[in-house]
Amino acid sequence: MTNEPQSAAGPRVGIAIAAPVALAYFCFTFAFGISARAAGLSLPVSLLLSTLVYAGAAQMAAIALLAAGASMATGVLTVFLINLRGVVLSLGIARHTTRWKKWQRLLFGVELTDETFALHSARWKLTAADASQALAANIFCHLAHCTGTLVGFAAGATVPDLKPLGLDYILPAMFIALLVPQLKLRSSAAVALAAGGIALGCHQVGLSDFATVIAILLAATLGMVMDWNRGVNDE
Amino acid sequence: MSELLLVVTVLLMSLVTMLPRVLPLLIATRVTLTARTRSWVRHIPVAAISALLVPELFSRNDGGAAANLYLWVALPTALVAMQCKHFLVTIVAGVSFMAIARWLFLS
Repeated sequence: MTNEPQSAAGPRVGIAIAAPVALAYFCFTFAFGISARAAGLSLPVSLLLSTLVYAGAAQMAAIALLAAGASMATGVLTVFLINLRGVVLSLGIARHTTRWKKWQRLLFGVELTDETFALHSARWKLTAADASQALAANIFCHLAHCTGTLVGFAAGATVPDLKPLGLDYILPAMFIALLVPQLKLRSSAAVALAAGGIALGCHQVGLSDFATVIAILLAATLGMVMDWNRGVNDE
Repeated sequence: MSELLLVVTVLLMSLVTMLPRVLPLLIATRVTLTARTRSWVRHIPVAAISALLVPELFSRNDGGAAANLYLWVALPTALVAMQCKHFLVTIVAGVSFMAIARWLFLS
């Protein structure tokens, strides 16, 4: 694909370095596939989410909202807000890829997640950014993400009733698994508490459809103000 | 939502996800965000997860005297999540706790 001399070894190395992330993605989307089916989504829609949105928390938010009958605007706005940090990742890594071809940068951006960002930005402190290696790593992770969705969805279909096995609890358990490790930071704990309280309050007063967006905007602002007051500079 | 509307929704979700990821790489700007903006953006996922999880825990009611298993099962699940770094372990624990709780209290 590229004219670089190491291009034959590049993809192979890329796949090797991406293996742990790919395995984690497969496990995550296996659970996602089961809960997407439990939420009433079809296989094509579930696969479309994993292929074209290709995110973690945002995909879970999407199925939770769609299952709860939220409007299209709420679903799209929530996913937009959650994945807005893509700008931070993309801006953070762009200086390494300025010599790549345009299509390589486009493909790299499409497959830029928290995990692939961490993988490459750690490596590129030591070595130059090899396009074929990075793209192979990212494609491998993306494939694992989609395969896990497919296998999870199929596995879910073999279980006629999810409730006796507790499988309807996968989505809340996934949210807990993502949320709890983040609470060590005081500002994150405050954000979580505020967002949960605000969302609950919005549901109580009948603002269900706006609950998530209102809670995100207010609670993230609280977190920002807390960081700012403590002079935290996240570099 | 109809299947077609769902597909359109997912396509829009894809668009609003991909533009922020791709544009800075394509344009290769020298723009840097302020620490404040980055801090705000980075708090969003935690806020979103909590905003979706908490109402879910309080609004489900399986009926019967055991009332809200969704909420009670969250407590041991959160304990496992605190002790264990792998999310898969937490998910398996949460699902198992829910199955056991149903068997104990609702059967």
